[in-house]
Amino acid sequence: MTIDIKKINFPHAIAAIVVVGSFFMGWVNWNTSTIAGTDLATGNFFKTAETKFGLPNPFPQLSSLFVGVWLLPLAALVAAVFTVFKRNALLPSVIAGALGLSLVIVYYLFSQQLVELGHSFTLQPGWYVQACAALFIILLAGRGQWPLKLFVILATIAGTYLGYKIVAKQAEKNILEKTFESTNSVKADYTVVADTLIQEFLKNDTAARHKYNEKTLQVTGVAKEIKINSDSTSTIQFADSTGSYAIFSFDKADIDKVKTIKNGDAVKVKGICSGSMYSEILGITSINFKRSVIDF
Amino acid sequence: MNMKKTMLFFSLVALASGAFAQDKLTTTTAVVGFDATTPKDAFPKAENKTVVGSIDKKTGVIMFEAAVNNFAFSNAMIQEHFNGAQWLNSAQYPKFTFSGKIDKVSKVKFAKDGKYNVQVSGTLTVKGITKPIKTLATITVAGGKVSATSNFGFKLADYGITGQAIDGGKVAPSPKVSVSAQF
Repeated sequence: MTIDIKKINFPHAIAAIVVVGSFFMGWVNWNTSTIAGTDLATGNFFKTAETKFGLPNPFPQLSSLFVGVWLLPLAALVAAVFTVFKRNALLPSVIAGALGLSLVIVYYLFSQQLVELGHSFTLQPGWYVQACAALFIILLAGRGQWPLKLFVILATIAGTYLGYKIVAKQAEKNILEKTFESTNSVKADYTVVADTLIQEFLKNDTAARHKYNEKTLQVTGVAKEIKINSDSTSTIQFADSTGSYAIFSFDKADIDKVKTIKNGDAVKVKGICSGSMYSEILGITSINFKRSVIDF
Repeated sequence: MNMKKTMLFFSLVALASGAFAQDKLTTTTAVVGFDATTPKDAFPKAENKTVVGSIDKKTGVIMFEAAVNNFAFSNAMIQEHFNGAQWLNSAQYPKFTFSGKIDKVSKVKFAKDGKYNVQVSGTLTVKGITKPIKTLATITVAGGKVSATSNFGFKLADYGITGQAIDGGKVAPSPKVSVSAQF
């Protein structure tokens, strides 16, 4: 099989190669994290969004579908080969181009959401190169068929934009509806005695915060002060010999249990540790717990 | 004789110290509410029920300290963002503090049951930034117990807290704060 170099559609072949190359380049910078086109396929996209910016994949059950993003460079490679061998490259070109256009739009819109949360982003050269190459791989594929090509481009842009907005709205609804489950049904990460816990914070606050903050703790202690508020919420304190104390706040649901406890009673409670606070007013340290429950 | 005088002196000092100590009332269970809800978003709302506070009946000095991380939101994501570096950054700035004074404290009769509307002037420290603040408060004396309530607002922008969530109407630019303390 001979290849007549003069008859090769070089602009299209180059566009296809550029689509492949720019897929591996950086597309956006989220604060200082560079995200490439490949990161959506590898899972790093949502991993970074969650760990560094608190924005997880709202549909984790669909994570496995992201591997399909590899179709983008694959289709572009096929388009390049077809072009060189004078085959009809329209179909792989449309697939690669439409995927490329969709992804640059998704990257942009998702980055905008990070800005809403107070972060910053900048588009990187890879994003611009991919956007241009994706357009050209469609426009330069085959001969003519302009109405079809223009339709694919416009439908991809409009479809991705609208689809993203619909999905994002649903995702936001899912996230906002996700309230904390009752501490009753959460397994304790640590089981500790109040005095030991207080001492741990007093000896090395940084290490204790690192270990316990936002973790569920089951704490046993002797009630030193019980306070019932007018709205039926309440608090119980365990204090050590230095006066420093661990304090647990309870919702209304626990009011009947709290009412049965008296000062001096040994009590077992479970709560979410918020870390310590040194009080300038009292000159002592408190370990604060929220969403606590009596753990009879 | 000298020994008796010395003992009398120390007794008087002890008595005076005791009297002084009683002037300052404290609590470890004041409740502070934070409400940054908007018509678009009803979730940026939380309460902290383990706030430390004090009130000096003689000088009118009033103080509060709240652990930022102990504000309990119903929604996990909102709570995480509230504490995050871009918003309140509780890892670096773990406390909100208020330090102020009741104007004309002598008008409050702490020994007599009653309700007293007062003005409190002081400073509010959020995210390491301290700004002056004035608010109205109600001090109630009932059966010898003193309690205080107050409601005020503060501008997030004054404390370097900005973002599209505020511009986009999802977080109120001036959250409402409610304080309720039984000393």
